[in-house]
Amino acid sequence: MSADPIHVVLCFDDNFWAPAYAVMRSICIASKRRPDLNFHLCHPGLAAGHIADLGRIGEEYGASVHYYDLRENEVFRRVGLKARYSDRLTHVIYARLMVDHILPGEVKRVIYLDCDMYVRHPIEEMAELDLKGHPIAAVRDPHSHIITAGRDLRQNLDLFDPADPYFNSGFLVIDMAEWRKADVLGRLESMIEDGTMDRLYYDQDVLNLIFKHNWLRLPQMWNLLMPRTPHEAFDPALLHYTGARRPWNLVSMVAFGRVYRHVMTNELFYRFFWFRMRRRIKRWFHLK
Amino acid sequence: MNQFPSQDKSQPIHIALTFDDNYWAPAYATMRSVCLATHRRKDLVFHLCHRTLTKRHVADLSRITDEFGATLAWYDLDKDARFADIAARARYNRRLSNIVYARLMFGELLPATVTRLIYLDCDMYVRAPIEELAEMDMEGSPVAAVRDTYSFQIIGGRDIRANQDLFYLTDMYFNAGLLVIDMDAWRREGVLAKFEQVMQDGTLERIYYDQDFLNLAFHGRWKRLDTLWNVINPRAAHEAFDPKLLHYTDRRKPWNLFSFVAFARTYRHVMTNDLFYAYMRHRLGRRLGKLIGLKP
Repeated sequence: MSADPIHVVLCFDDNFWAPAYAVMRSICIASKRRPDLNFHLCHPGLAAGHIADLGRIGEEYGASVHYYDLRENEVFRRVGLKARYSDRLTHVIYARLMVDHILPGEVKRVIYLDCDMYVRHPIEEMAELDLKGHPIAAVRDPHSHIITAGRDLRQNLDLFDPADPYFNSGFLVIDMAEWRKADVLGRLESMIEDGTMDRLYYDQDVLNLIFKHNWLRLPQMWNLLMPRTPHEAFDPALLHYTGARRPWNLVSMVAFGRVYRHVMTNELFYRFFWFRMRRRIKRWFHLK
Repeated sequence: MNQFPSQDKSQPIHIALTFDDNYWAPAYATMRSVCLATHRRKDLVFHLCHRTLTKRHVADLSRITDEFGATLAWYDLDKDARFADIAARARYNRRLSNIVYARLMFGELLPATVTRLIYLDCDMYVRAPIEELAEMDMEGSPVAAVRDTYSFQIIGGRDIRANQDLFYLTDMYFNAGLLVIDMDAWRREGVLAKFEQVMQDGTLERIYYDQDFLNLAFHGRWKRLDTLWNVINPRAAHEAFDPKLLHYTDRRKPWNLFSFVAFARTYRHVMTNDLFYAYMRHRLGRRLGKLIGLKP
């Protein structure tokens, strides 16, 4: 068994601490190299109670958890806060584009994951994967046509050809040396300045522009979008709960919905439920 | 409108569609999906074997050339005596109409310069570069296709007991909605003459139209393609597998307002919103027309 550390990066805000915990715990459950796991958590401030929750990953599995407060990161403050965002996707989604400016320099390989995921296969398969000289590995996004070309599939044709392969940026295996060569941050800054950013689908389009024809395609099972019950039989390696149905909802009708509750642990599942209820009620009162 | 980039012209890629005027919009969507998914847009030659089309529908279809630089070749079957002869004598299906027999005439209809042909049904959405099929190694087989997982039902019918003298249920049976055809072999085969035989000896009355016939004709001699190249009855759960070709075979059609099929929303944009709603009006108009026609 190799003792090389496995570096995993998550970017989320305080409201998403419980799904982030569930992703980490799913990785730990499926891995034979738990003590080698290093979780790098990039966040714009976390409540003390939530940090305590996240820290339990270290206690239960012997994995290491590192925290990076984005508010103290000069690069994120300068660039990340300038980029386009929506109600659903906050600025924190851009943190993944600055991963080389956030993590320590000695990290050679990074696995980035969105927090609406459930990992079911050993993550070391990705840590040990041969990237064949590519800066990143990812899974094709089956919805690329509608994402890039929009109405009547005729938009942004100067930026994306629908015939080109396009990946989902929710799961990335990154070779840090090659990534640095691509100057992701510099490209992002110029896209913000020249207005290209206003025409793009967030970080995913940015990464697809920068790494066009320069990424390794992973099997679809390593980032299964909109997972539903029929997918369970295929033993997917990684479920990505995109779309409106979320596994942390009481009734979610997604693949492995019940198992997910146990991955998050029941106590946190219901605490997260009440947390969302309280937020909703608070917002409701503000509207009045 | 932005312009679609395209590679310089090289080897032509021949694709055939067969449809009647009421199916012009799905035919357009199938063609447009092929164009969107390949860089070789200028190499595409669509051979449209059609019943007589209205001028307006011809104009709609011609937009494929304007937008992508692909070539359209038109074959009006209603002006073809051979087709009229066969259509008059062959077994008729209300849903499929006699247009299904057009694909048996590719050897007669298309120019001899076409050596590799990709046939597509019009209820399809192609999502992968079509040159994968145009350039694949046929390994000496006259046709390549995807296995039809409904073969037991299609062949055997009620209680799966029919036509056991014609087919072995355990033999591979293909879906004829997507065919990669070696045209030289097809012509040597004399497909139309064989069909004439089946029509005359009464076998055609007992079988599932052209698909059964093609399976009889090419029994044991076709190359099996990956299932992702012809995903029948596609539903939302299939989307994650990034299928190469969707075949909307059952009652749920992506041109319906609520279809609950895989990639339904994207399909509307492939067909383009204008045509999607024009096609809806067209179908409503036909339905109303039939209704009024029924009244004494």
